[in-house]
Formats: sequence, C-alpha cells, structure tokens
Amino acid sequence: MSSYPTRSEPGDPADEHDPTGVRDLLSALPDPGPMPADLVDRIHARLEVEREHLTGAAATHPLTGPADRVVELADARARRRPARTLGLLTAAAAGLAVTTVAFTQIFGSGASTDSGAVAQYPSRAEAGADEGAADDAGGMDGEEGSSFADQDMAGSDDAAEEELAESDEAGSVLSEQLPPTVLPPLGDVGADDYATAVHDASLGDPAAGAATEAVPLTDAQAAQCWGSVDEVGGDRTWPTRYAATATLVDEDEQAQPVVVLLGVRPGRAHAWAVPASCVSTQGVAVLDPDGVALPRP
Amino acid sequence: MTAAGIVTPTTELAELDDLTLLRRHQDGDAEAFGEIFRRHRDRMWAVALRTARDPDVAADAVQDAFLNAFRRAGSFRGDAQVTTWLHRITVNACLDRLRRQRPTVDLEGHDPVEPRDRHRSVEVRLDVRDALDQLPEGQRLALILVDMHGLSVAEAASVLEVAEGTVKSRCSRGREAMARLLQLDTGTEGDT
Repeated sequence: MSSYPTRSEPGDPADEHDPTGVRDLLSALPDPGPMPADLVDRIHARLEVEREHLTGAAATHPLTGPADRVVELADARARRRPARTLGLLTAAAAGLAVTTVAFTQIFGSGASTDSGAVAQYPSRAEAGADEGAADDAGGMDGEEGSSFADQDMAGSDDAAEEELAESDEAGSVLSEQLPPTVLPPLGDVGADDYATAVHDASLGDPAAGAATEAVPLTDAQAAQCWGSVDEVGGDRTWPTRYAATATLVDEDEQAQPVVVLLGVRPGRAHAWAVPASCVSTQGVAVLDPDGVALPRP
Repeated sequence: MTAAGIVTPTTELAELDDLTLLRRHQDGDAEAFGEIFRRHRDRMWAVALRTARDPDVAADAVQDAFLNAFRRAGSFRGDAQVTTWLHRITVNACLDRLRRQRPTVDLEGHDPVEPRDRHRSVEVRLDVRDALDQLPEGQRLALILVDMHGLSVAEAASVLEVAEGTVKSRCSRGREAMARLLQLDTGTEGDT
C-alpha cells in the first residue's frame, strides 16, 4: 500500500528555510476531498475501454475493434451539442443556398435556364424543396429568377469569379459531411514532424503508420476530432480530410496520445494535432490552433 | 508471473505495492491498474485540482493522466516511486491543458511577484489560496507539491523535472512572495 505524507518529514531541507510561516499555512489548507464519483465512473469506463482494446487488439482489425466503444460524456455533450448542431445545420443551410444561387447564376442565362440548373441538383437541398417542386411543375419562380438575373447575371467577370469561389466553398461545406479517411496509427511523432508523418501516411507511404501502439480510430471518432479544428476557426472547406492516432513525444520525452488531422486540397495541405480525448469528448482544444501548412503535390 | 488475461483477486491486489501492480498491469493483469487507480485517484485529483485551479480542467487532466499512465506503463523505469511518476504525469497533464487555454502562461516562474507592490499588498489582503494563485507557475507548483502535498524536495524535483536546488529556490521565493502578499510579519520584507 502507498501512504502519502501530510507534509515533508522533519529535517527536510525545505523546512530549514521557512521563516515566513507560509509552509504551515499551506499545509493547513483543507484537502479538496475525494475524487467525485462521476469522475471515478468516467475514468473507470475509459480505462475499461482501453483494457478491452488492448486485449482485443490482436484479434480484431485495428479500425473496427473495441475502440468503437466511446465513452459518452453525457453532461458535456448535453451542454455542447445543441449549439453545435444548430451551428452545423445553419452552415449547411447557408451552403445549400449559396450553392443553389451560384449554379443558377453560373449556368443560367435566363429564367428558364435558371430553373433547369436548380432542377439538376434537387438532392442537395431539402430546404429547396419548394423551388424544386415549382421547377418540376414547370412554373418558374418569376420573382426570384428575375431578381437574380437583374442583379447579378449582367455582372463582371470578377463577380462571376466571386460566385465561383462561393460555390466552391459551399460545395466544400457540403462535402465536409463525408467522414474523414482514417489512416493507420502513426506511432511516436514529434511536434515538428507529426505533420509530415500524417502527410506521408495519406500518400500511402509504407513506412508511415507502421506503429501499432497508438489507439486506432473509428470514422465517428475521426469526425468528432475534426470538430475541434472547426471550433478553433479552422478552415472548414477541406475537401479531403484524414485522421490518425499518434503519440506526440515532446523534447522532454513526455508522451501524449493525440489524433493528427490532415486537410488536403489541390496544392495545399494542413495538419493539426488534437489530444486523443477528442475521440470521446467534443470540443477538445487543438494543441496547435495554427497547425502546420504543407505543400501538396 | 501473471499471465495475460489472468485476473488477480482484488483482495490480493490490495496487498501488493505499486511497482508490483504496475508490472502486473504490463504483464496483462486486467485488474492491476484498477487497483493503482483506486489507490491514487484521490491524491491525483487533489494535485490536479490545485494545479489547474478549475474543476473541469482538473477532471479532464486527471483522466488524461490515468489514461496516459495506463498506456505508458512500459515507459516507467522504476528509478522513482510510482507515486512520483503519477504526480509527474498528472502535473504535466494539467500544464498541457493550461497551456492550451493560456498559451503565454509563464511556466518557468523566474519572475517573482512584484516585491514592492505596496499598493496592492496594503489594499488587498488575500487569503492563502488567492495568494498562492498569484505566484508564478513554477513557484506555485513547487509549493503545492512540497508544502501542500508533502513531497520531499527530491520528489518534487523529479515531478517537475528540475534540479533540487531549483525546487528549493522556488519554494523559498514563493513563500516570501506569499508572505508579502499576505502581509505576514516575517522580517524578510525587502529580501529577494
């Protein structure tokens, strides 16, 4: 059994130089008390998942093993989920609207063409069901159609480029709903090379992802960890996203389990590291909010 | 030797020392780490709470700490006590989370509290806990470990991964700074 001293033993050098009396004051402060029961249960459950993962890792595929079981932090999620869900729905709705407008303006030269452009993308917009229904019926929404034509279709090339950019962003927001690609665990990585490691793994470098010590991810866990990047204002428009577990080892040899995230678009890539607790907890702070930018062939 | 998958009865585990438990955990004993957690959770919670000063941060940090210990038990070399190792992991977990919240926090603690801030010391009589919170991180951690949790200077130095002399000086400067903040009559006023 372990026993903890309430203070240093007499004769400890630290005792010899305390003419202030502060040491006595500090040692007399009340103990915070036992660990709260809910936290004990939470850690017990998390350790149980870890133990099941360890015992089952050899017999199961690393990406479909017991790590699928995620400890639900009900209280935290109850606080965070409504606002987050509302935010995501709002962003998705805004993206759909911009996409619809952009396609209408880019591909259409008149009212009838506008409706045709919209009609080609009915599945993207449940919110646009009314428009789709009007189009299917052949009844052009004259008010909206004419409004778009009057305002923007006579615009300059710059305006068209802006709309293209908006369309691209909106499409990317939509594509964000696709789950990230889960890469094999990266093993031990450093603060200065985790970005390269995950980048190499995304390119299929056989040397990357060889380690098996880190905990693998499920798609849902990867998506949840990407939410941390979103919450620090990360670029939400990465059309291709990756995630991989790793152990971040700092210069003092202190190890921290992390999930390394990689966003990729043509010519660009960006990596972030998030504490591994993101697999079970929403809103975990990103270790390096700025991330690491990488060139992408 | 405990084979992987074998579970040692709880009553037997309670009789084992920390190092044996950790080794059994490494060998695959499914209950050994649970006994370590049961044995040290209150202590680590206290350390986390006093280090992080925020119950939510402390809760996350102490969870990080025990998970890290569970996963990294193989990295424990045995040249320190398991309790010291757990203290180090817990303190580091707290500091990691605090750094993310306040990236510019002074973790070195070389700057003493303003020794001549008479205005503040006269007008604001801080209680002990508030005064402790006023200290630079390094001094505060040293006092938490040595004066509040009873670690020896050597143990605290191992936890904080600094020299013993550094712990001593941080304790000394921290106490003096607190004495000034608390307006204790120590006869050390003006000493640096």
